Amino acid sequence: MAQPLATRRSASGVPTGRLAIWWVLGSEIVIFGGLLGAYIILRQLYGHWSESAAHTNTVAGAINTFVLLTSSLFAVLAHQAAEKGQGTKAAGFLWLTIGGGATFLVIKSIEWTTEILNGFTITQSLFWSFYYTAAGLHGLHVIAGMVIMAIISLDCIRNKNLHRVELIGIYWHFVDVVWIFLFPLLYIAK
Amino acid sequence: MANTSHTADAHPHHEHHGHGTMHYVKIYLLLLVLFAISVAGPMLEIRVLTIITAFGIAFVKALIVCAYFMHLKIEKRFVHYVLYAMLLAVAMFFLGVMTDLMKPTGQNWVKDSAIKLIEDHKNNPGLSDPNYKPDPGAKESNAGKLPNQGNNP
Repeated sequence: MAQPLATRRSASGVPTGRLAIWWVLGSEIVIFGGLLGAYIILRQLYGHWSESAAHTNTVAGAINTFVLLTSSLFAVLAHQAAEKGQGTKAAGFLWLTIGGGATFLVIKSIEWTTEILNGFTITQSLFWSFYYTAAGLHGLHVIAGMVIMAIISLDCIRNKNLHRVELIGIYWHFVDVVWIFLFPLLYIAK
Repeated sequence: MANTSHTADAHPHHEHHGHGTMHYVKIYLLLLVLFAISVAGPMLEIRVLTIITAFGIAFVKALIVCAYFMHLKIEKRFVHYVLYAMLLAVAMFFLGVMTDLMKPTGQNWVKDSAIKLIEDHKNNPGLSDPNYKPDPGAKESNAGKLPNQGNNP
């Protein structure tokens, strides 16, 4: 049976699926851009936030940056394998990427537990509200990416819908890019 | 067949770049080097160097990921326009809000709650202590709240 028109048409010259993921990321730019923009403004306004930022765990943030960069490499290698029609290999790289996401979340949960036990809760101050909101929203995106990758990998093993590997890869790299900005904002700038 | 397979044939735009695994590994290693610099730079505790190494390099890393991992470098112009439009929306928000928030007073207006908030923090010695830890059981103070929330319970 032929595929639906929506999956074949391409008025912009970009395949529909890929165009869709770029529009999703466009909306994500506004969401994260607005959040981080507000953080930067208030951080400039209230210099004393650096005192709160001094309590964030830079080592945990740095390890998570390394983990996400590495997972991005796996995601692009999954895409490369999918382009060659190597579904099983692509699925393998997708699961390595999922592993990176899981490692990120484990480190994040340990970090948050320590901070909450020390009294740095989301209601403690506006800095910590931003910290948990930004990192939490990012964490939700990591979870969403992992779930979608797991679903796509099932098709990959059967060598079906391999183009979706590229789409989830683009999304995952965006999640990585968001963290690249969150890391200096929340962990480095003391 | 209900589920027609998609393979690389459906995406000719990516076929011509033909990058091997080593290409991506090299970019990854470059990202790791930049990451190391972004962590090490701020340790010198020189403000300008911190801004350059932490934030400047963050931009460079993000651009490299976008260009090579997300393949924006070879993506259609239309996608670039979509992303630029969204970045413009963020920039407009940033500039609009910043001008309102950055100053607690203007020629014809005064934000009392913002001034009070700033004074509250100046008078709170705990926030100036690097070893300060809040009492987990303590009630939330006005410190750190948004200016217009300063007097809320």
